[in-house]
Amino acid sequence: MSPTVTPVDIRDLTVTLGGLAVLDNVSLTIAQGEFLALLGPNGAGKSTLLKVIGGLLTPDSGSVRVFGREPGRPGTNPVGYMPQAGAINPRFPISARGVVMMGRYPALGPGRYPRSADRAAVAQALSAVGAENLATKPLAKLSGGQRQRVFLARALVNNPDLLLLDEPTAGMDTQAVEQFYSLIRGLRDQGKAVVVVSHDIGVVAPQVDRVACLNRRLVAHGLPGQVLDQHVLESMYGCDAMLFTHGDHPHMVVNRHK
Amino acid sequence: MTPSLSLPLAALNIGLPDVLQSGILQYGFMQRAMTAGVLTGVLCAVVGVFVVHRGLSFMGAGISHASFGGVALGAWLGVNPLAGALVFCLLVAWSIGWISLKTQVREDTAIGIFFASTMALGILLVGYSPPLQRELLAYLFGSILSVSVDDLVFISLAGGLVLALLGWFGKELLFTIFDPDGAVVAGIPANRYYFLLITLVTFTLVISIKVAGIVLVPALLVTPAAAASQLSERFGIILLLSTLFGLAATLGGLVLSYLFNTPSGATIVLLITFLFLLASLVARLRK
Ligand SMILES: Nc1ncnc2c1ncn2[C@@H]1O[C@H](COP(=O)(O)OP(=O)(O)OP(=O)(O)O)[C@@H](O)[C@H]1O
Ligand SMILES: [Mg+2]
Repeated sequence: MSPTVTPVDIRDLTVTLGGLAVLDNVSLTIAQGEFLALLGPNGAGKSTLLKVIGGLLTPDSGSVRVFGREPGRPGTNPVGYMPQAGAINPRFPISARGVVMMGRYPALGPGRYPRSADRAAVAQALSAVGAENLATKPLAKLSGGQRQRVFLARALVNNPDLLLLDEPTAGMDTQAVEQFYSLIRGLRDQGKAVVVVSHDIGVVAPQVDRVACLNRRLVAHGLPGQVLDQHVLESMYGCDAMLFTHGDHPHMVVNRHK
Repeated sequence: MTPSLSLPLAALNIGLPDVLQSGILQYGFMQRAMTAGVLTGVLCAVVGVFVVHRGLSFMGAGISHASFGGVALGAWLGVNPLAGALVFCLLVAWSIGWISLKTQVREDTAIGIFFASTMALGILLVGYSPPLQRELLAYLFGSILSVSVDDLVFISLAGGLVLALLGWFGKELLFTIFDPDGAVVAGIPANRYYFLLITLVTFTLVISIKVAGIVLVPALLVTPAAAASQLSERFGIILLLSTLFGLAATLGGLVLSYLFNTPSGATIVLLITFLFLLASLVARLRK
């Protein structure tokens, strides 16, 4: 990984879906070794932003560069993506191992089928998310949280330089969430850039380097301690919100909507 | 490559005792029918697994019905009707694909529009083509007993090409039908593979018209895969089971139609439907 190339560089991004500006003039950069939480209410455009970075949606205006290239052309810097739960058919006939193996397909290319190195990488990714015992289970027989672990393993299996995770901990139990954050911190320390969408501000804030608060516009961006004040939460959620620190963990209390 | 109902009907006048004494494979037309049945049965069953799990069953029915318009157009223009069907159906399939990817119109809506309009075009043109009128039933419901050596060459070459492409791009197709967004982010262009898949489906359907006919061929594509999917949660096993069901239905249906003097396309389709019901029953009992 060349130290000069910024993983994500977004300038004046506007995205219109169905005639509606879903993202409005968003500028954001994500550095190597940065762990960023993307926060915001339902419909704020968080998934949309990840899709633009992943090359799934094209901007209406503005520029998006991922490792200096057009999004969706990962080149030598693999991108790991974990879609929001519900984006795939959970009854598709495939094993957990088969799902993770898909992460190896792009590097293999057409006409080539997995070899022992690929199988080893899959086993390693599954054990990194604590799902080695699920390897041969069919997708249809997994619980929601187990499925999330398997998709996380797929995002990790290619040793990506950028991870785009859309509500990765939704449905995970407390132990899995702890395991998830320590895993991601480890990757961050190796210089990977990580974006995590979450609604669990209290859990995610102490873990990350930066937070970006989104509500169509980028409401705030910076260190969690500096950004997450009452003013920002109000303009993000459009209602009274307060963050209480309770031991190590901040909790958010949202009053009735105005 | 002109299908005809007269040959099968004449052939079927053979008495049952003769059949039992001599074995049905002594007849050249039966050997060719069996070969065509094996080839198309396997082809449809394999492609069908991708079709069923990408939710393209209605697309299959739509494209095969569109081939009626293509056959009629081919006959009217004086070219080979199946060649006409292939070109016409490719244009229809790509149009449906383009509409569903690039406009607000849903895929099934686009199929519904093409389904009826291409049939209407076919019916209009059949009126201008007396030779096609004579062979109408063969095109609609199949005439596997009139398969010629030329037909077999066409089926083998085109079918072999489809299977080779499926083998070469199989894992990319699997990724894109399961999780198109995940595939795109990983660098696999899901839309291109969608077009590849509907192209392979079109070839498969047109290749199989001779065996099962325009109206019945969607069953050959969809039902073996649907039956197999009842019995396993593994893609590879489903592929294998679907192939076995497809083979059993085409070969078994041919023998049954020979023994009981019934139309072969319809017999094959009813047999595969019976296998589907059986598979559903087994799946229920196992739960
Ligand atoms: N294909 C689409 N066509 C039109 N509007 C869309 C489309 N996809 C999303 N939207 C709209 O874009 C807005 C942002 O959606 P997005 O999924 O990015 O929100 P989100 O922040 O991820 O929300 P959530 O927390 O519920 O996941 C929503 O108002 C949604 O209605
Ligand atoms: Mg979302």
